[in-house]
Amino acid sequence: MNSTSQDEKERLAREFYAARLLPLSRAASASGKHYFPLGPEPGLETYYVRRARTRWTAADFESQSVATPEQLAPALAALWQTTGNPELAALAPDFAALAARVYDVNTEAEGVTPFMYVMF
Amino acid sequence: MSRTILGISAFYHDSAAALVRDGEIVAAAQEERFSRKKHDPRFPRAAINYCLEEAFIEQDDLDAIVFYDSPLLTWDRIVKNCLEAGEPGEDQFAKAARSTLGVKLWAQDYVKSTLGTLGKAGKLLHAEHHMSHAASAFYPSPYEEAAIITVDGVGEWATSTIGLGRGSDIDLLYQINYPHSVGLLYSAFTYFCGFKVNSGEYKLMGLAPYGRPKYRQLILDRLLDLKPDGSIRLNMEYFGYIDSLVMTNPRFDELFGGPPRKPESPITRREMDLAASIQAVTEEILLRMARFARTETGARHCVFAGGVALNCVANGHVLREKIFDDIWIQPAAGDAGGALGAALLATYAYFNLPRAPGPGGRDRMHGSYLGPAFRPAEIRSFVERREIPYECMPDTVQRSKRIAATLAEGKVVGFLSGRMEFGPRALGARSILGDPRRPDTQATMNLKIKFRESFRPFAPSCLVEDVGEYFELEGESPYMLLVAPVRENRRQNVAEAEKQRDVEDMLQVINQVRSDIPAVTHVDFSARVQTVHESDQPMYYELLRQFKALTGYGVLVNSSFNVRGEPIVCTPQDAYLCFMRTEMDLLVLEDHLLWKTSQPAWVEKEDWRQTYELD
Repeated sequence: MNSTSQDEKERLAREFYAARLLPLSRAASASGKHYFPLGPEPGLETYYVRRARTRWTAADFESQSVATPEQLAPALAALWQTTGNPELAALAPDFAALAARVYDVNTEAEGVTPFMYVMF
Repeated sequence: MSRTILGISAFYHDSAAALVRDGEIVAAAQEERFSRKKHDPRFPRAAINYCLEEAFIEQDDLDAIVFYDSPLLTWDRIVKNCLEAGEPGEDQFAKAARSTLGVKLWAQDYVKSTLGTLGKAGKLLHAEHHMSHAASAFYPSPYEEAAIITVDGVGEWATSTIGLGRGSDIDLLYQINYPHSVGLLYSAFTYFCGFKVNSGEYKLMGLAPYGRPKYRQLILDRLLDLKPDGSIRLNMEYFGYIDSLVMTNPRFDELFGGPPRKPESPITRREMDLAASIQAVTEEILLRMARFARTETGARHCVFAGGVALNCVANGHVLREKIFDDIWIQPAAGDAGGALGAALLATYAYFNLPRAPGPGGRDRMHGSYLGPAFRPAEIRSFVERREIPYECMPDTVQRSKRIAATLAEGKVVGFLSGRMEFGPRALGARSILGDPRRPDTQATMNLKIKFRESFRPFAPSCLVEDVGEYFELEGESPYMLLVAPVRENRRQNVAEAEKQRDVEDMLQVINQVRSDIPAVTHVDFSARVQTVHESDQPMYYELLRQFKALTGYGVLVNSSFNVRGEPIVCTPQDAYLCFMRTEMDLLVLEDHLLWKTSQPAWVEKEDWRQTYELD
């Protein structure tokens, strides 16, 4: 889709973070908002979350499929509207544009780091 | 209507492919076995190719191709993690944008470029990470109904789930969400004790019996809140994985008396006690989860998957507590098994096929022997083409007697037989074997074959009908996923062993005799047991039978057929290479016996040890 170098992709990602996400992060922090809990809440009876979607249906198999960056923007927007994050939903087209710039299925995945569980 | 489904897991660790036809598992393999790169996370092109060959199909015959998780939901978690991290989140975002936004989201393009098709479904289907784990555990299990527990680091948002499987249906009822994770907690200690995250967890578990759980209460007081139902919340003030690229942070160091142990440096009493402590905490969490699952679902049986389900010490504890009538653990419990789970989930939840029971009340994993096999004619072709001296013994009984006699002489045997195992354990298809009775077997296998000084004993393979003679274990353990005590009447030097638990240098005590099967008896008199069933692996079973006829012991030492850092061997070529690079005495390639003393001198231009990164 593009031939942007790895260094250039890193630069694009860092710029995106500084321009789009860091302001959101600072605003959230200033207002005391957290995207997930960071510690115990002894008053809670349980930390289990009861799942709204208990069963994976035929429609679920298909709904997670994103074929192109053009399909990514509406998919992310819909997801973040559902999760109550309109501030992120508004950025969905920007994420899709970034995806188009950093797209690179020909690059081999990085090796497994010994310092960090592979979670992204 | 017949349905053939390809499942794929990739891009995290241990990428894999699995092929399922009408609910029957036709083939499954990890990419590392073909690429020879341990824990290979790359798109599993070779494993997919193997699966199609094994099923005798073309890619156009696939009804569906299923990816085991949802990169879209994972991206949601990554973005929110970075937002929570603030400024330090930039490093994670830069890395994740390239790997997830640039690569993982486009798994469909990998499939198209590899296979030239998306199957008859016309698009790549996606499962959910823990649904795939749950499916890998429940569908092949012998149970019509079972509670399901999945526990790992993280998949999308979930880190643990509890559910119920019944017939063809799976319902996941509860989950614990990132960043609160039993798997990440265990990995944090793995990192802190100087082992590699994602692979060193097994070493930490093996280290635990040397220590005492003196930090257990500190962990429970400061690092997490554990509820009576087994749910947890971590105190993220002590962990580094939200806002850095390592698992723990300076507060964690301070709590446990200094910085993390440097990899490959001497293991101290602190690491031993930390290992014992986190193992004790993990077992307590899993026991509570199991009790909660039993209460919530009412099911008499339970199935487990997810990386934490490879903690065979904890599994043995759950079994012995008799919370359930019986438990079953997916042998490829880590992410590789997600490929199989995704294919099975699509079979029953997308195509709505009926689920058939396993043969004779047993499971449907075929012993986890789901990888490539090599016919004797292929072996013959290999050895003759390479002009490798060999002896052919087509008679299974005579051959087994010969191998058994060799083992009883204290020799070490490389054994390639039948289809390769799926999952991290060698189960007698790609194994290095030794005599468990000999006090020197452990040192010999470690130093001359594995090229390591290990604090972990080897695992025993045992005739299924004899397991009760050696170990305090009721029932089967076909996948080496249960640790059980060696029977008391076989134990030796018990008082001495208790004193040795406090020594500083583990390697002083590891090779000491603790039972009449010393090579497989850990310092706490436990063993990682594999029971061998005749119908799963007839050749290995026959070898055990002949070893018993000769020695009175239906037990062998079973270690994975590799050297440190190398993936388990797949082909006869891989096996021969490993055989010649080490001091094994005999290599068995199906019905061909290759004696080391008959082989030509082995010369390599470069130091092959540099080929493999130490695990």
